[in-house]
Amino acid sequence: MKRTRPSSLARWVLRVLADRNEPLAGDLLEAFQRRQSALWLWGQLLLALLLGSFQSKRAPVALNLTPIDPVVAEWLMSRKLTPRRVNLSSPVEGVGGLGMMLFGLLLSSVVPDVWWFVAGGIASGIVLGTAKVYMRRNHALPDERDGPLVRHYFT
Amino acid sequence: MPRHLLTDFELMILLAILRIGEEAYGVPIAEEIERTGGRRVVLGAIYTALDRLERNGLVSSSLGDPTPERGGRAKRFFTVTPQGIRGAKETQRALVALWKGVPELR
Repeated sequence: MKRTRPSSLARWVLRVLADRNEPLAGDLLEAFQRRQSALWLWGQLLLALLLGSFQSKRAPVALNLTPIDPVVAEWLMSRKLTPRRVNLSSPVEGVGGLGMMLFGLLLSSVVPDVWWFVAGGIASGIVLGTAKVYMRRNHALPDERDGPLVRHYFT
Repeated sequence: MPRHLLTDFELMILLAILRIGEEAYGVPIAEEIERTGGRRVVLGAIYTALDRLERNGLVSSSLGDPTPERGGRAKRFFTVTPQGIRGAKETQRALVALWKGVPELR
């Protein structure tokens, strides 16, 4: 199969992987321009992933904690106050649950290590969120109606 | 006796870098090994070996400027350090010594 440029999916994978090993992603693209074989490119990409060549640079795990921490804290506190309706279909607006599932499958096949970051982020978020709830258990919320409830449930 | 002899792949990579000279980065190294060594190579495997060689101080690397034909991604140029040259020579000596003890092959 001869192509003049990689498929959009291959380009997307290269873009994602370039964050970890930019020179290797550039080399693969340059070599593809000469060989023009999509099969060769996918073979190289999969083997590079298996060999761990794209794991030279990793984002610090701590970076994953910040966005989850307030969300979990909010969830923990809201469960004790007023019940809310939660939409479990998809956390991203405009993308259905099926789309998220396909995205998850794609992530699992291309960069399975990402799930360790997700699991680590969730676990750390729960710990931090719980700690925040306990630290704030003696402080009333600005809302007069919620204040006594918080004191009632958390003291 | 050196502490660590190089594997055949590591030795080929070091020799390829020495043959190429200043323009030694992933693609030319792979092409050099394919042309002279007669074997197909995976670029990822070359980077895995190069990372290991750099950790052991046998090669050093520096990033070049991003180029448009590479999607704006920089090249990583490699050079063999004096320790790497010593390692290659010691490996060659060990291989030659081993060959000397081998009876004539048909």
